[in-house]
Amino acid sequence: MEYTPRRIIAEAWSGTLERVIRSPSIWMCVGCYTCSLRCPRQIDLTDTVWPAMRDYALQEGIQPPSELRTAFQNLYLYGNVFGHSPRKRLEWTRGLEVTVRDLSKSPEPVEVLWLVGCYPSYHPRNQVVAREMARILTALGIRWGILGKEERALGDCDRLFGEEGLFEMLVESNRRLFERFQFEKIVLLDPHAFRALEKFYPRFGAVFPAEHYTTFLASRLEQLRPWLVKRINARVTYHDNCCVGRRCRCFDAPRKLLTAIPGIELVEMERNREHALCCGGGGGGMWLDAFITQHGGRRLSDVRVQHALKTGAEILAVSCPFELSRFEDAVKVAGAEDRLRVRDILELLAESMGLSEGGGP
Amino acid sequence: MNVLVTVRLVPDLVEPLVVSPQEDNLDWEETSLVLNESDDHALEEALLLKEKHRARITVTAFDFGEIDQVLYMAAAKGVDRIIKISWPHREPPNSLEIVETLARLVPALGIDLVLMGCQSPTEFLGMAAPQLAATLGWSYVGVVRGVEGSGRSEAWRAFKEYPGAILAEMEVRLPAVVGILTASQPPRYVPVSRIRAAAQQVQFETIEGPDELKEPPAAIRRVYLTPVTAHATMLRGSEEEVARQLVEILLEKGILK
Repeated sequence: MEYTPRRIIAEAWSGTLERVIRSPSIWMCVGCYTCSLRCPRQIDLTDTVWPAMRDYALQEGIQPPSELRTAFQNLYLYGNVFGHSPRKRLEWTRGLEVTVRDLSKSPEPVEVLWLVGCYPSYHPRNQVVAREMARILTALGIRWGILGKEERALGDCDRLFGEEGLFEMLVESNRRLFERFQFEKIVLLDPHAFRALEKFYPRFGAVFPAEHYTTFLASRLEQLRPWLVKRINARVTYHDNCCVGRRCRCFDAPRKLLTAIPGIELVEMERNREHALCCGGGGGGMWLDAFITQHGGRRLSDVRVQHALKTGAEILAVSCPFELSRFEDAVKVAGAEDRLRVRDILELLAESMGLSEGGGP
Repeated sequence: MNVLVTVRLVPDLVEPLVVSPQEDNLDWEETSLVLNESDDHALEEALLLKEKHRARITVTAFDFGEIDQVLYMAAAKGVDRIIKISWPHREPPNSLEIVETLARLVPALGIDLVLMGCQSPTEFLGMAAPQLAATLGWSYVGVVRGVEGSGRSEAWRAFKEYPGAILAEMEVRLPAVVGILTASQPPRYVPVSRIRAAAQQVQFETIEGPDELKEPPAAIRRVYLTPVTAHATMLRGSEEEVARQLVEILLEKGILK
């Protein structure tokens, strides 16, 4: 990376920021929040400086990498990064044996408005996780509903990538949408979306109580515990995602959920909690692997999987929809499919609860 | 140089197509629309001409579907003038109706070069651009992937693509109609904040559409979705189960004995 955060600040001081916005470096930050946390002057580089600089670049007519352009356009046209039809948002529910309340069809008060998210709605591997979440919420007797084909991305990654206008557009449409329904709390699977809703939506007057699923379920651990009957005899290591972990400093909830599962032995990677290495998918990095490696960057998920392998864990547990596919690819790159499986915490909970559709470790 | 670009909305294939109950067309009320891809490229090529040769760009579109969003996007990208053609019908205009309207509009605007996508799913055989050229008595070249100046004001170069990766450099005498396949570079991205600003600031000019609807040269007898004649079977289960199913199928077909 030609321009590190420190060098960017130096360029800004010397009035040569123009050089930075024309460099590939500007698109290579994956929003891990490490610089924000380490900044001696406590400047929130990830959430303010990088998006502002990218916004400036876009306003100057500098074209983002083509993969990112496609993601932006898909969000603008369809409300999801994949460019899939909003009508297909419910495909993950196909074959699901529990009742799904689609509030867009029949509005009714619910305890939890679950924003399923783009990856769990459309991405086949993550659709499994969405189904497990539906089973767990139902088993716990929680009255939950979803927004069906009316759900749209919350837009955190495009905000981090400087597409402030697109983010504002999504905030406005989501705010109007959420205000139509009665719910006590929004629960999300995607930590980036959670972060957006918790910190940035209120800036536009869109204030909604929100929780990531790990803290939501951990707060109901006593209710959950009697269900956790099936042993999962495995050594498990947990990867702290950047938004819920480093940014929101929520490290204990995922670990409480994992250690509540009988049979699981939790082991820590050398870099854990606030020092955890990013998977490389945040802040739009999910779409820029090729661009980043082309410009000298590393695929961080490959490095992180090596950290997991060093622990001797058989399962790498995650709690972010980006991480399943990123780490599963990285496990294949490492040739470690027979040693390490990547599983969302929800999959492990559902398995222990006897609800799972997937196999054991 | 005055350049005219016409943009059209076409069915968005991200959504399933819905045929009308009469089976003579799509059900346009149920059909999501998106900017025709090669029209997007025509717009990009015009913007490049503006940057390189100070061309003045006028964009026209029939008022069908959510065309305003496309026109705001064009405004945000930097076009100079936008003219919306009224179209109070439930189906999009056919190529004859487009040609008749543009043939009336182009001389009045003092246009030197018309750029339009050389193909569109909603018109037969990509004929709108050559029909327009014939109606105006202008030069025409289609399936073009770039236009540039030659140093002489009346003659321009168009790069025409032929099958087999053959590229021809052609001299085009103005005035001309050029059917664009792709622009010299991918259509540029414009931030949504610019589009939203354009929606607040830009006023469209409006003109009347054609006086009467034109029968297309070939009547559509029936529109229908391709019948499904066979299905793929997804083999599910563990590796061993999938392998067993595969062997059973190969035995059943007589491939394995």
